[in-house]
Amino acid sequence: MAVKEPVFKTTTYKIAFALGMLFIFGAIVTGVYESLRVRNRLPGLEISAEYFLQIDTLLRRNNYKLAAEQIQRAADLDFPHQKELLRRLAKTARQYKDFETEVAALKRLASLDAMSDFDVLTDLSSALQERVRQRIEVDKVVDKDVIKEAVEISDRAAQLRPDSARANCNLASSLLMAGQTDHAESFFRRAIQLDPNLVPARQGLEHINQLRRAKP
Amino acid sequence: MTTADNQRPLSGALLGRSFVHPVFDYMLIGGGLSLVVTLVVVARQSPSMIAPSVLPVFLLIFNSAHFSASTVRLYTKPGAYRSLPFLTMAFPLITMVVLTVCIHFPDKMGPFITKLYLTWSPYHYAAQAYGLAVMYAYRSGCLLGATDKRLLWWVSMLAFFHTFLDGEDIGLRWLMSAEQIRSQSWLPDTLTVANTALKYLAFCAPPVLFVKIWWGKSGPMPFISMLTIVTNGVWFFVLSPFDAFVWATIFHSVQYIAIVVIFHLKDQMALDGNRHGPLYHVAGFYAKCVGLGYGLFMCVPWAFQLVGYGPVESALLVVAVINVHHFVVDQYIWRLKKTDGNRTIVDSQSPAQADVAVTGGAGV
Repeated sequence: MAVKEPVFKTTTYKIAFALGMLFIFGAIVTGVYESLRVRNRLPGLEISAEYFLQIDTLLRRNNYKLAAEQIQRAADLDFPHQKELLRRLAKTARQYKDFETEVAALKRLASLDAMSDFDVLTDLSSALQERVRQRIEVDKVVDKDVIKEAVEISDRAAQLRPDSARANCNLASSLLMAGQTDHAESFFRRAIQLDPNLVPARQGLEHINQLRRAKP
Repeated sequence: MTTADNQRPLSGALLGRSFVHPVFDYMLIGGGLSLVVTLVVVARQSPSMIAPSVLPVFLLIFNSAHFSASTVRLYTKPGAYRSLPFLTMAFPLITMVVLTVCIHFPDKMGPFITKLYLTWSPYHYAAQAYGLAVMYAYRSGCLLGATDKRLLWWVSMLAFFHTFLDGEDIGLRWLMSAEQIRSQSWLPDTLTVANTALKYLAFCAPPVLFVKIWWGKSGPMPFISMLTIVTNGVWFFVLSPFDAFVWATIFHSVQYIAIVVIFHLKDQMALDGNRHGPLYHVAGFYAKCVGLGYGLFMCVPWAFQLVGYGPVESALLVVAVINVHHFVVDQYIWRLKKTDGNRTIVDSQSPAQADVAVTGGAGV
């Protein structure tokens, strides 16, 4: 013989069922409506492409803050695309001169590869240098901790690829910021040796000469 | 060799009792087709076998349809409301409330629910492989003993253990950060050794177990049982973690849809008032799965955006929560009680001998 369910339990289940179905099918219908309203078409099939499109829309409307927040969130939630998203966040942040966000994104990217991805480390050292310059310009503050970090990261990148002109130039720039002019000069010279057309290295050397000439 | 074994012709016992046709069963349910695709992916060193423009359609007709298939199955399974009142009636509301909470607190809840579903996925696939292996064994007359079943479960789980230890941001790396792992001098090397051991074990253990079962009380197990376990291992051991997730999900979906349709068809054809043919039931079930999949994965996120949530959390957390819902529903819908009509699909010709549930409590 079948056991009869208590009336209260059955009614609760029925109410929960009705609410659940209302919620789900209501959300589906509302979703179709919203997509038609905003985009004039039914919701697309590719989930990540859909939110990428909406992030692009935010950027086109110059809503960088919200766009960056969304990319950052995507990097936290969309693990298969995490590296791609962090790279995108770093690139977007640089375009908007938000070096703090760029540094944070590149640091996460670097830690994912156990600080062994040369390109990421080089970009990170460059972003750290930009951050120092921005702090000097905007806040009139020399952030010694960031300079120290820039030197460390640049040094690590140069160790990974000692024959890279870019890595040597980056390390020289970081050392110059840290006030280690002689060291910086030797790395700028090494960079020019490796790539005679590397303009930033020549500019760096010129800057060092100017500094020396300016000294009494 | 046992009496039961002697009663079965060897070729039939090894081929197994198919649901549709040996080719269909071996290629789609057993995962034979996935081995061919994996071979091509590895040979081409690229997962881009499907054009990017076609991939979303693939994901809709297989992946999304498969996730909603468990829900469609739940609500079309005769007697499900009576036997599973909480799951059928209260659970949808609970799921939607959990989804809303996650979307409302995306930074606190989002990573948790995402890592939960990504860690659970390989377990779910492994459990499905195990469930299918046991099911084919039983219906082919190979009555697995408790020890053989336990060994089969452990062998099925090797792919899951590998992903748990090796996956980025999931499993062990969910519990411990990359820095924490690196800070323990012994741990990175131990993990490398463990993963290598698992890799070898995953390819050696199935044939060894196959022979052990053959020579034991259970008698020969059909090849398709081993094939389901080997293919699941191939997805996770041969392919890179990212490709594994893409291809494992697609082929797991194909496998799932094929088997769920068979069970659904059997139920519907057995109903007293049935006036339709198999094609009607199969097409109807699949259409519902695709429709619900589209509605849940593609439309629901827009509803959350309408009330002000961001596109990223709306889209990604819907995926995560639906996955978890699917895993939970799957824990129940494949448990076949003794009175369940579907036991006849699973049991061997002599059902009295097989009175053990076929699933491992998860997956098929």
